[in-house]
Amino acid sequence: MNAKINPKAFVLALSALILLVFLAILFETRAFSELKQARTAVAAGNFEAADRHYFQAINWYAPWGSSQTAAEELYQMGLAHLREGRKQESFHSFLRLRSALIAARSFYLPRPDLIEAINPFLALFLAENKLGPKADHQAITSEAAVYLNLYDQDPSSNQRWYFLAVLGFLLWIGAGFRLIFIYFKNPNICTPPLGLRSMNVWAFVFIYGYAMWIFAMKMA
Amino acid sequence: MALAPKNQFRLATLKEPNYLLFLFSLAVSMFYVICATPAVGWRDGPELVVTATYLDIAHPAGFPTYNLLTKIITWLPLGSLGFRLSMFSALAGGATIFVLGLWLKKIHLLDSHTPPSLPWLWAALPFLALARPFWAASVEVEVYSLNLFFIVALLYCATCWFVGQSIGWLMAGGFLYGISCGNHAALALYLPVLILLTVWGGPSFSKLGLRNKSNYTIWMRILILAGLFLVGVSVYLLLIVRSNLDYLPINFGQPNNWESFFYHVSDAKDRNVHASGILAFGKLFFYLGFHFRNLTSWLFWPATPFVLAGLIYLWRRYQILSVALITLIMINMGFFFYWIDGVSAFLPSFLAWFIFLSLGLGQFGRWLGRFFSARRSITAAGALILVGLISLGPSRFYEREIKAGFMATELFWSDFASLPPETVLLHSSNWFSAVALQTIYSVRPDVSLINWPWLDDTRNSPTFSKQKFPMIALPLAADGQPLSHSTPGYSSLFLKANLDANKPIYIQFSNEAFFLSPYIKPELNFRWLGQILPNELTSQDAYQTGDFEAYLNQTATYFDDLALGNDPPLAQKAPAYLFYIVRPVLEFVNGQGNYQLAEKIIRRFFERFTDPSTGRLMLPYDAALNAQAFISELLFRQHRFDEATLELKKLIELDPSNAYSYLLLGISLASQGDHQSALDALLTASKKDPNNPQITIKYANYLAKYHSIQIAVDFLNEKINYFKRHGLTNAALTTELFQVCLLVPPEEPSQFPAPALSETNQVF
Repeated sequence: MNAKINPKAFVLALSALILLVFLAILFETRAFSELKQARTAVAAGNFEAADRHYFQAINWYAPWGSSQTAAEELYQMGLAHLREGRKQESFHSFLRLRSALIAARSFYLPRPDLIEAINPFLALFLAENKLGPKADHQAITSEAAVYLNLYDQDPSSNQRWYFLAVLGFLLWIGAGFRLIFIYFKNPNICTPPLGLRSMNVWAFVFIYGYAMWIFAMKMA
Repeated sequence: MALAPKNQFRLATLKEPNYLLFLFSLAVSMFYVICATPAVGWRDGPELVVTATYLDIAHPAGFPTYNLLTKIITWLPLGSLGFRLSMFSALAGGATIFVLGLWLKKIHLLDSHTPPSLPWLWAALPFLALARPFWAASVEVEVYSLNLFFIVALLYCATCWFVGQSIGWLMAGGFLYGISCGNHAALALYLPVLILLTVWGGPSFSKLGLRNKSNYTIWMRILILAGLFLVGVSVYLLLIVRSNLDYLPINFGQPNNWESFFYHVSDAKDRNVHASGILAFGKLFFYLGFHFRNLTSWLFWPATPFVLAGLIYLWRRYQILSVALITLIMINMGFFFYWIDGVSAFLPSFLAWFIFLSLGLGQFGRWLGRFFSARRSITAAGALILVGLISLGPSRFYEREIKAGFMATELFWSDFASLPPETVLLHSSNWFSAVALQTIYSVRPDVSLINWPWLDDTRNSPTFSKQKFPMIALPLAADGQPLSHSTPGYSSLFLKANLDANKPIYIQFSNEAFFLSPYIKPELNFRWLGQILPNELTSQDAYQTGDFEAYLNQTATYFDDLALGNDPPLAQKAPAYLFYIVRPVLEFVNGQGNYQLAEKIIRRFFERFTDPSTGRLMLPYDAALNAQAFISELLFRQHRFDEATLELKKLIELDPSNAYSYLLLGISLASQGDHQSALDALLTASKKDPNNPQITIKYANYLAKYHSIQIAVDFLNEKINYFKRHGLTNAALTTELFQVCLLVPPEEPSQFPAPALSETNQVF
């Protein structure tokens, strides 16, 4: 480090680092604590509590660490229920897993492989539940297809338009402030100096951002 | 010795107070993040998570700025969507502290005659950061934290203009003011403050007065400011653009035309509440006293002299600012006059009072400087900061559990997850939480969640569409097109269409869902459903504070006053709904072991809804059965067997097929000495539920007790064979074990005298 380093940049970088380490520790400790409670509940045969704690562990989602382990273990628990004929319990475990992952979505959906594996089971369970045990296989399959269509819809899709809407908003707000400070430089004079080149650029950014904001909001 | 470059840099960093202020604000934000609610939260929190995720239309006035800014943090790939929005509040809280600190520093630099001490000005910041209302706003999903940031930022812009930096700061303030009104429309109320600052303020300001400004200058300022404000406030266009889309999870009021738009952004829905507050002159002094007490308690009583000192200082040095802040307090308190429990509504007032406190402390620090060295004065300010952190920090840390639970998510989870496929779920006061479950967690995409007061409310409700609810059946007109939502009696038609399509219809009451379909008659006009909503809202306060008697009274009075007298169809249904509302209370009280209170509540219920001519409960069948079973078991648990017997007989009359009622009746009769009737009741129970080992053992026990052990053993042999034949292994094993107990007499205890025969009989 030498004296030429910008102190402002240094403090900002340091703050970002502190914040990152802090968040990583916070998320991992909370996810791990929930994961531990979930494992204890599984050992005691209390599957409802296990579902809840696994769900809450995934709530502390990070692309690494205990929340990922929790998702994997909850999936395995659901499969174990299924193998041992506990369909109801397996339905609830899978529902929890699917919901927790969907609630952690960003511009992408975490663990889409697990969700894709779960959805057909959920759809089939609902179809059997609706039609009853005496319904024929064909009817159950076609009913399940309707539910599968609903459950397969990805709630994190269409983020491109949302992104453009927010970008447009930030552009016109930012350009608006920039224009104001270019125009009104003097302490008490309201008549702006016209014809500035930089003003034209920022005015264009403002109009472009505004138009993009409106259009993207309509499309999102 | 000259310092090495590395050390020079370090010193420069530490000596620059803005960096320290920034790091302190960062630490405050991190503390808020630790305390922040991890899921969607309560009240408006779940709604705001949904509206931020989908850029939806929130309740009036819509909060478009909040939704657009928080949308950015929803992409952070850490935690759940709910927690990301809590983190946004935490960051906005920290940013408020930072900008406020900068503003206080500006005031310190501005005053060349009596500059308040900067360390003492900042010594008050931990008290603001950890004061309950500010902390609460910064750890939950709400708009208030960002709102305070905007207020402080506007104050900063105005002050920059005052100190002669450039008129651009005033214009930026106008633009920012428009944008911030999009965060919370109540900010528009403070327009007089802005006008005050614009007309009378200006470079090198000190006293109130026009000071030779020409009319032209003032009008130019106002016109340009108004234009910039309008550009900023155009963020509300989000409402008009987005509300035209059919698939928005929350499209409150559907403000897609100018009339509904102005109705929405002006919060006309709550106009009467605010107007009644402003016009409540009769209670003026009561409410003024209340607010004064509240504000001073948030800042501590010992802080009051410093608040007054700060106010006097600001009045003497920067009159225009003090008038602006007092105007802000008056507008804030006047508009939210009646909202005595709405702490968040008074945050702007609280902020203004806090500014006075900081300035008072700054003056105190300057006064101390006369007697002590600067180093000692700074040390004392540091000690005050420590006192603030130590006295308030731990209590806020322990309070975090209030906010940090997952309760809001868990409350409806099991109900929601267990609903039958394609259920139509009618929801009301907790609708926001349910919408969050459906959209943020996507728990059950096949369930259609309907806000039931909206079925007949075209003013606030959006149109129902298949795009939004793919599984519902829409009522159709003769030409096969979906009927308009404004069709008279739409609720009845909507429910009839879904009943005809065999959709199970559930209703959510007090956090529990009840199967409603059997009670719905197509000819019933459901417009009255909306009337239940105010009842739920008013009585919920009593429910949440645990005053269950008050809860019951309010609920029952509501039904008497509003429903029973006015609406014959509701008069038929009211007892059932009332029972559904009070049942969770009964179960809770009962679970706590408070049988007396539970009995008091259910007896009141029985008194109110028993038909005097027939002596029967005026309830639909399953609700009557439920109520009767509840009172029977309640009396039974208290060993009041004579009363329990009477109630159990009524229960059996209602449902002769329930073996458990006969079991309880048998035990009750036996306890009263009617052995033969007890045996008859238990035999009936055994016949009604032959697979139940509990009934078998109880009957055999009484046979051994009142007839002979041999008869009991024979009966048990018969039952063991029955269980084995039907593959009930566990039941057979349990029964065999009991048979062994009957056949093998207990060993004589070596240390105690043998019990008398009568006592032995009591054991069995």
